[in-house]
Amino acid sequence: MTVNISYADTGDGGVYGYGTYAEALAGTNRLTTDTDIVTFGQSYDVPITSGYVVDQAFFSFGYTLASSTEVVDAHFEFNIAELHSATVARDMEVYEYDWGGSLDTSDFRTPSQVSALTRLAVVSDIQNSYTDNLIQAGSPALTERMFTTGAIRCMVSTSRARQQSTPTVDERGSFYAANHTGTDKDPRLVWTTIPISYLARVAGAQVALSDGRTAVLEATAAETSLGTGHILLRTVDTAGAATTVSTVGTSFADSWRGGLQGMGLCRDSSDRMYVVGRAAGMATTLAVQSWSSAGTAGPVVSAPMATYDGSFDHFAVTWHATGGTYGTLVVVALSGPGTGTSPYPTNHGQVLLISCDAVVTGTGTVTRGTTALKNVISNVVNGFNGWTNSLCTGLDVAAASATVGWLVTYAAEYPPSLSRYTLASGGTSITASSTSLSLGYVTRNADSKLRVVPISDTQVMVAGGSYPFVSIQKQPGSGFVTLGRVSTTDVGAATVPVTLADTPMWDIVYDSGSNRVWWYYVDSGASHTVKRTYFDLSTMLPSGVETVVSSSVGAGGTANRAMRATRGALVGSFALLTVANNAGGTLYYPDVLNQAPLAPTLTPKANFDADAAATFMWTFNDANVGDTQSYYELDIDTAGGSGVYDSGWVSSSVGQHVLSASTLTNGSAYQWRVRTQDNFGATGAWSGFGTFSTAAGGNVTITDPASDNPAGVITSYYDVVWEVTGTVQQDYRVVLVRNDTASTISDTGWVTSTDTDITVTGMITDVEHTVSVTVRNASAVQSGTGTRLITPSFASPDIPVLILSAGEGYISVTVDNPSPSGSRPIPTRNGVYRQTYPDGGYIRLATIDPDATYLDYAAAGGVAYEYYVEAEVT
Amino acid sequence: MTSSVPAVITLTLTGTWVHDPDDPSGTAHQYPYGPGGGTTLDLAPVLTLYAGRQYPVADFGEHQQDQCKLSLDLPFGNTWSDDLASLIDFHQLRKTVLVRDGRGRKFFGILSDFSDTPQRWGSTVSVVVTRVTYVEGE
Repeated sequence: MTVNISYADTGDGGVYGYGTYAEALAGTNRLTTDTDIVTFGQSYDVPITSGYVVDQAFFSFGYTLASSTEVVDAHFEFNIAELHSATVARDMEVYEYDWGGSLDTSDFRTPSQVSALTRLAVVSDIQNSYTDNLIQAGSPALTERMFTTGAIRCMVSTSRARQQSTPTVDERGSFYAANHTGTDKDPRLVWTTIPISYLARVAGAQVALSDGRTAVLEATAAETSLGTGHILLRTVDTAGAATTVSTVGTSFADSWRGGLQGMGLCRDSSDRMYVVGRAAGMATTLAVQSWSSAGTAGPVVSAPMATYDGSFDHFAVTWHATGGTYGTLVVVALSGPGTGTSPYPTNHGQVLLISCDAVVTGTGTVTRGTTALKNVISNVVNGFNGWTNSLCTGLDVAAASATVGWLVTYAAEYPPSLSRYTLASGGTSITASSTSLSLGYVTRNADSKLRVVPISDTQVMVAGGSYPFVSIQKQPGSGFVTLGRVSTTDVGAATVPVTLADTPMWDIVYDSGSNRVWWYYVDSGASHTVKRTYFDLSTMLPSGVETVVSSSVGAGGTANRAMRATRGALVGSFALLTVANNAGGTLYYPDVLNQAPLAPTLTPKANFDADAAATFMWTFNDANVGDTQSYYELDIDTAGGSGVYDSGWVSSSVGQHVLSASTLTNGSAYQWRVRTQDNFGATGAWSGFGTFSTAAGGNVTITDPASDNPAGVITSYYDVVWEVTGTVQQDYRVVLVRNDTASTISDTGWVTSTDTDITVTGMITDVEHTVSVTVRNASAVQSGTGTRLITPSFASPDIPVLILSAGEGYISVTVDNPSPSGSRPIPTRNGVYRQTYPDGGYIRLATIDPDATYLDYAAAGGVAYEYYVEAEVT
Repeated sequence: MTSSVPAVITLTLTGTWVHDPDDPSGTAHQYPYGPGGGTTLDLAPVLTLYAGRQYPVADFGEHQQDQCKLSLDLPFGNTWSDDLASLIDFHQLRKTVLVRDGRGRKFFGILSDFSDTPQRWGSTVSVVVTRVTYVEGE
């Protein structure tokens, strides 16, 4: 950005008429003056007794608009020399009138001639000014006028003279003219330019949609006067291909002169996109329109600003879920210099709470609430609550939750102000607390920016200036605490720029997956190379690692003007980088904020028998939460480092590799390592080496039980016996697993012992179990594993003994329940059954205690009966 | 549950045995003498005469009446009065009793038509046992 000052040339002066009021207005008896002050306005009885005077001031500025720049603001500055009547309300008005550079009485303008001129500036209520007061006055018309290089000549009068309101006192005022000593108090034309950029007006308009697309506003040309309909709403896919959703309609004043953020864009939770900007033809009215994720346009609604000094020309917007059906937009609007009489205008910013219900449906009240920006930001001094926006596009706002958001902008002179606001239920008002930021050297540069990136409801990262990265935490119920503060020189990367204070060629995003804030910037030694580096919010330290996003941003010989990254929350780790190039237009660079995996963690590999297959295992490590292993490579070398085996890249998300039997030879020492690739294809570093050796492991055969599922096992335990061949047992390990649930009942772990039997316990009746025995030798090489299946059955009591005898009129049924064997239970009762022999059908006669007798009096005489008893456990 | 090995046995009864099924060991009484009983069976057919038919048409249902007429000899001696009193008591029970004899008969029934005929050597008692429905076992 360049701020230019043109001083009025010495040809300036005044012309006045006098006589009757009609004569004065008509310029009768006109005279010219050329002193160190010039007068404007009208008067009665001064200096002409019982007569009227109408004074008009004339001045001229010369200037040249530099090529490839556009004017973003222009305003006049006058130093009041004298002001009469502090009670007659009137405005000072500045009109463009080409008086030719040589003033004479013919340049006097009658009221009707004044009304036909273009009004370039108004100072409202000039009666409130005073001697030596600096007043500023500008307008979009003046800014637009500045695009025509050459002299601009003006005439100054008052609203009352134009309206022919007869004065009764002296209503005149004067300001210092070019003839005044020095230039300190000379009339000045202050005008600000920035390089022409495709991102001018839309540098903050980029948000991620949940389906991976990125919504952007894109200018169709970089020229300064675009004309209506030259801003497009587009979506950009992950490959960088842009698709036009809609042309932002004629309801938006997309042709005005502005800085970087002339229009705002955000989206809600259903990817409905909202565009905000100045309404066409209404410099102090906000226009809002929504588009569905599918691109269906909603109505355009408008919201007048509550109070203002000048035309609003910079916007930032974010969406909150609270309020109505569709939520609430928080719009922060900054205005340029307007009609204020003070150099410290008070209403250069507004916060508007826009009803998304009204935006979506086109019905209902659009503005839920509004407040002056001065009520939200801090560092209010000298009545100056919002910097003249022509000198500052530092503005950003971002939601952290349904009700909480962060806002950063310039406050008083400097430093910038950070606010944390809370949206009331229903979205009707906000409350905020704020703090001043220490961002080192900052400038209110129309071609620079401030960025605020929410980390959470209570933590935020702010960027901008020469000490640009500050992480702030809002303490519940108290003030703000700086968690970390990093200068560009602290970053530790070799090619970062020194300051962000005067350039739009940077941006930041927050990747929640890795809890990092990424900084995009241009290589300080290569203007077509864009890099990024990150700050780890877990440690509050910069990484110092630079990653090249692209080394060919824009063609050679062209200039990159501005950079824009996705605002708000990212989707996954995808970020879109947008660069405005003076020749190539708007360039998109898809970027996955991914770090290569860290070295995997090896699971120590025990020595093994190379004649058998062996499994190597490791843990995938990646700083990016959610990343997964896509490929691995396993390398096995001899202890001396000679390569023996390399798996090559194997597609697998599992951290293990099965080495086929006999790939290695027994009796050797080896080392092994692994490296991985993540799901983005980034290759990580090799792990450190793990070691192992190989040796014959022998085999184990379980000899008792000698076969699977031996019959007659009526115990929950079993004395397992094995024998070892092919090695010398030093340790054994016995594992008992119940097969129906695959759960381990017992595992001895490695037991240093030459014993070859062990009693396994805890088996479940009528469930199949597997007992596994493995041994290892003095080299810790494991044998093959011997296994047996055992299915014990010990749920039923032992078989009862039945004793029958005939008595007098009855049959005696006696039961002898033997003592339980194995793990069998003690019966609690017996059931007595009888049938007419051989097949009369059994009936249960009675239930008797263990070892008891039942007398059956119901047996017929001479009939053969068959009895049995059942031992039961209840 | 574990079952024993089955076993077969045959009970030899002398005379006629009667007892209350709810208290077999406490009520079992042996009547060693007398011819025992003869049985009658009435299937209760319905006979219908139709014009043009010489004989009736029988229609059998599922009901039947099964009776046993006991004739017990109760000689004088140490047990005569007990035997006679027990038969009266079985009547007085007004419930189902089990009647068995050495010829394999086994009646769950009710007693009726008690008749005591004095004899020179003691008493002859006749009793009608009418079989009733009874579910044996638990």
